[in-house]
Amino acid sequence: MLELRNINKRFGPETALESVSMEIGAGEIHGLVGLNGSGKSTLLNILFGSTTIQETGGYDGTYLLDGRVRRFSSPCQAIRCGIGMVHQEFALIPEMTVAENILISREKGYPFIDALFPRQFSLVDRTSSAMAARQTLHRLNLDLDPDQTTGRLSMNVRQFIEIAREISRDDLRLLLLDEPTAILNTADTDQLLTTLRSLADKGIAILFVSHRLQEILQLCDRLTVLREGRVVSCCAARDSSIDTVTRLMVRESVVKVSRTQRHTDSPPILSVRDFRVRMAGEELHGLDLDVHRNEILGIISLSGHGKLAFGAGVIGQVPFCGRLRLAGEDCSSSPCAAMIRKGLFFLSEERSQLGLLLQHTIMDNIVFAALHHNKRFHHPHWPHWLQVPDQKAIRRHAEHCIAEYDIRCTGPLQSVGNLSGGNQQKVRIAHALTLSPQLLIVNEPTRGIDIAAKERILNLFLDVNHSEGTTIVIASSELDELKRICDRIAVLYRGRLHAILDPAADDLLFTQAISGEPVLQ
Amino acid sequence: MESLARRCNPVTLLFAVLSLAALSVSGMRPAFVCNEIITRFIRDGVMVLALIIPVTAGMGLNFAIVVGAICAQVGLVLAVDYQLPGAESLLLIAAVGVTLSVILGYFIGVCLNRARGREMITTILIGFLATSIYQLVFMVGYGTIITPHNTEMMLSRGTGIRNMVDLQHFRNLLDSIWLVHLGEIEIPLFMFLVVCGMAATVKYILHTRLGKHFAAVGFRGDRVELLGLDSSRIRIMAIVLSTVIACLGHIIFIQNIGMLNVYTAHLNTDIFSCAALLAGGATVSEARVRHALIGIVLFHTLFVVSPQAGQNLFGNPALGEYFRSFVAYGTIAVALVCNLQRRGADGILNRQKDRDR
Ligand SMILES: Nc1ncnc2c1ncn2[C@@H]1O[C@H](COP(=O)(O)OP(=O)(O)OP(=O)(O)O)[C@@H](O)[C@H]1O
Ligand SMILES: [Mg+2]
Repeated sequence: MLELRNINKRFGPETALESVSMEIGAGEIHGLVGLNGSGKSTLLNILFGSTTIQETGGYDGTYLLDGRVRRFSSPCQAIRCGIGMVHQEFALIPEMTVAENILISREKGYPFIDALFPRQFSLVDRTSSAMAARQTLHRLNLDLDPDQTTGRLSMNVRQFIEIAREISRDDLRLLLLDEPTAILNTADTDQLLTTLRSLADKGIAILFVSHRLQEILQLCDRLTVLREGRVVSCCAARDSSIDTVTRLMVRESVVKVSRTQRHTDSPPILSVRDFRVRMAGEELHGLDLDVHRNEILGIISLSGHGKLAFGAGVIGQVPFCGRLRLAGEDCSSSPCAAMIRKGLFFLSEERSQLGLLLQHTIMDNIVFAALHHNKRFHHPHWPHWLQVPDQKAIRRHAEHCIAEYDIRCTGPLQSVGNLSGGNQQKVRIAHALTLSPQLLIVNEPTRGIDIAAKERILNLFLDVNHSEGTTIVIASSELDELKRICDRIAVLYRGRLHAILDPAADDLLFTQAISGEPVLQ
Repeated sequence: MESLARRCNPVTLLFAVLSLAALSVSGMRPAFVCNEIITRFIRDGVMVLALIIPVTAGMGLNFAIVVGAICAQVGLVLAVDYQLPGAESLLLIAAVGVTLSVILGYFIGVCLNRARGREMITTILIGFLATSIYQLVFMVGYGTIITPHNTEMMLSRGTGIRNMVDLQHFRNLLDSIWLVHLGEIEIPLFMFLVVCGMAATVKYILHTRLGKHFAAVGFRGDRVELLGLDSSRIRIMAIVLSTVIACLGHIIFIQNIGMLNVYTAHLNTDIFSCAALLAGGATVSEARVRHALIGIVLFHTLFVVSPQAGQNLFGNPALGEYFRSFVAYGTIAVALVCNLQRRGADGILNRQKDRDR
């Protein structure tokens, strides 16, 4: 159905894709894997006719859909040909409701008015739109009020809405999925994979990008491995193993880090009592939790049970009720900036809106908080109060970070908006660790990060925890990661603390605790 | 209580207080003020409604509604030139005006698509440009290139139209339909319903598929392409609709006044309409029909009573005149500043809260 021949794409002097050829048949699920910046999103954007591709000079090569040569100049044309795409950074409109987002450009109308007026000028039927949206969400096993605003929902719910928008289309023939599972936990992922399987059985071709090799091997019929913009392998998923694919992607094997020495009890640096956060879709209903100094604490829960709300509530991004003590001091009503100055920092799971200055350079992004809150990187020759930044030191630091985090870019002056999704995430982590806070709360730190860089970043967390004594709280849906680096893992259920488990505990025990069954300690 | 305080826009509140204060100082009879406001509500209402769609589509205040007004005036001059009787002239004016404003609206839309992010200043300049071209055509073109049929409206030197054109066939043609008297208060019911019908139409458009697309483009202009919407086309549609509504609004305005100030009648329509809309509680990124209706009443109350209030307070009616333009420009400036402050993540949340209510 889809055939690509010798696709080349350059961004200025940089080559993003080099003679990429592949074929996908109807009803096939095709996996696409590769390290951060290997050109996966770029390939999907070409297939979808994104305007960024046009603006950066187009591409060379032949793109055949059903045997006809295509060259889309805008996504509208691609959509008309039955192509749908789930975007890495989402294409949702946060101010609009869930139903409006799912049915955008396919809104349901009243039959009578539709007959009377041209399509564009006929009234939108809110109830039947909401009903259609609800049905689509049911196919994804999600029970959600379709009339609420999308912007306040948690990221994994938004991910499902983004998927629902595409699968609600009747004319869908080719579905492009760019890292749809990056922030989903195992249960949600399984749900999604079954839905995708049933779509493929109906004859829809699916191109699936992910960094989790396991699910790729489980779901896909065939897979293509990209390395630095080139196809290095294309094989049936049945014939490959995680090991062989890893070696193809990275060239070397990946050593998994894990924590060796664990901290024993120390006094709490942060303690919350009866902590309630009203973050839609991810509420906390009275959490009691102590975070000890110098430890790495993992937080895990099913989606919607509150793990993402903890950080947002503590930093004050979302209002909370209850008591919060930071280093023995009551901070129940401090604004965000004050909390940052007290040595607290929070990296939310959402990067495009809240975490990055997309137009600015990598350099500016990395030092931003440190420059403004920590008074670091000030020019030594100027009086301090003038706050003249020391560009040389900043540049040196940025170059150091780029090497250390393995950020694939053209240099510290490239703007962050041009980086691939995983590399943007690395910039954010560099930003947070540059601030060297006493307590760092991170949501989904390895979202969209490839297998090699993930180990690097986990290792860095262990490093700063060891050398600078930074306390780290990680809310993640990847149990495996948490088990490897945490001292304790808190399991939340229905917005409350359900259990605190030892990372060495059995997987089965975790599964039970996460699903709310009582555990004995 | 708290939600009430948040719902009240400070600008609206200020207007309400100022209007009441000026009303009490001026000592004017309420019935008289009421009549004046009803007249002005009908005269200017549709023009203010024309601003709502572009704001929803994220293009800010469309100062280029002046172009719509110019289209209406072109139709009017032609009608006078051919000396048509009342009803027919109305049809001619509407046909010429709407056709012209669709064409010009399209071109304005194309211009604005090239000036994304700077729409407001661009519309202001387009308004100035259109005014000067229009003045050139009627001052020099008429009588030289275009042959007039009605010499009465020409200047004595033969080229150019007179400053003032009398519209005797046309004056209060519509206002006199279904005139209702309630004591001293006089309501032209038909025109009142026309303005309300126009408001309903705008509200209807905002709830159609197109209206939803306007909102989507307004919220995230950079993302809607990914959703299969053609943002350039949608923005052009917004401006065309706005220009057409403005044109109809100006026809109502002129027939109410009954005289055409050929070179100046359209001049301040944009500023006063924008100020009225903002006074009603709209912002540069969010406007609703309710804001327009409240805004017209508030803004024109202050407009009507301020000269008399100036006379009574300072013994000088000129001060009140001065106060009028101060109020108009002041509202726009204050509303713009308030808007900039509310932008950003905070603004998004506020807007969400507004919608949730
Ligand atoms: N708009 C752009 N301008 C310049 N360079 C770009 C632009 N978009 C992407 N690139 C570059 O193209 C390369 C491929 O990026 P792409 O987004 O396709 O990576 P990816 O495989 O999706 O990675 P990830 O797993 O991190 O999402 C990167 O080196 C990136 O820096
Ligand atoms: Mg990507």
